[in-house]
Amino acid sequence: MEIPLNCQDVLLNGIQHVGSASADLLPSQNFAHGARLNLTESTLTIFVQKNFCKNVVRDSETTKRVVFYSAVPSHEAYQVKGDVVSVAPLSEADVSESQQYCDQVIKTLTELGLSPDIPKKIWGRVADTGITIELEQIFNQTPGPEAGKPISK
Amino acid sequence: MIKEEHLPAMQGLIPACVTTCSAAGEPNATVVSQVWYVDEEHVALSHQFFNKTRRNISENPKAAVMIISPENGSAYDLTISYERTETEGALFDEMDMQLEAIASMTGMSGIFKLLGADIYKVESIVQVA
Repeated sequence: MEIPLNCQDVLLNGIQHVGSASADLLPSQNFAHGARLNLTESTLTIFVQKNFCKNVVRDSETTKRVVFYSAVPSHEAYQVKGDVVSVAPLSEADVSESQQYCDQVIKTLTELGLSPDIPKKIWGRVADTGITIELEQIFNQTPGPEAGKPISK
Repeated sequence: MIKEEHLPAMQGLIPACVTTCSAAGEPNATVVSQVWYVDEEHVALSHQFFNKTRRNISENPKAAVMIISPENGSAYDLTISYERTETEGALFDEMDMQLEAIASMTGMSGIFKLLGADIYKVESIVQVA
């Protein structure tokens, strides 16, 4: 799958949410703590902290369908949908990647005027679990006329 | 259900993420500018665009909303259930005015437009951070 570089940048560096639905159609969501794109295999691994995202992890293992949403302060945003390939502990490299991502989010939000204690409540933690999904479709979610349109096939 | 400690997270300063699910079980996530306190058991979400979220709640009224307090960073996960949409009246007018202010502050004037105030019953609130 070809993904424009600006989209990759938003997906990997934006404020990230991961969402799911249970078998009885109850949606769940929480913040993700980084992600890794594998363009060769057309997968996205979403970094989460298992205890923080327990409902999403549970749904990922049962209904196996996940949505990933990432947005930057300019309002540029994208949504990825896909089937879950695996739910597994993160490698040391991915944990390090998650740490870097969280540090960057805290820095960005602090530069926007928030006290560091505020973003640290959410991003002052490191992921331990990776939810890997197939990159089935990416949708533009930037407010405006292109919102909701797929950007890739 | 909704307590005073939750109210700062409903001031519209930090956008809220909303996840819904179709009748077929397909989740969808988006961001809304406003989660508005209506009363102790209800919130209103700004309906700004005709989109997948609207289609999903017409099939399955349940939604999950994450709100964050700009005062202390506390994050709350709300499970809500859609009841109705108001397109006029005091609530709509108040939300419309605030949305215009948000749009002006964020460079989204002309793009953010309130189409309706979607009223949801709050079923649970869990503090996640």
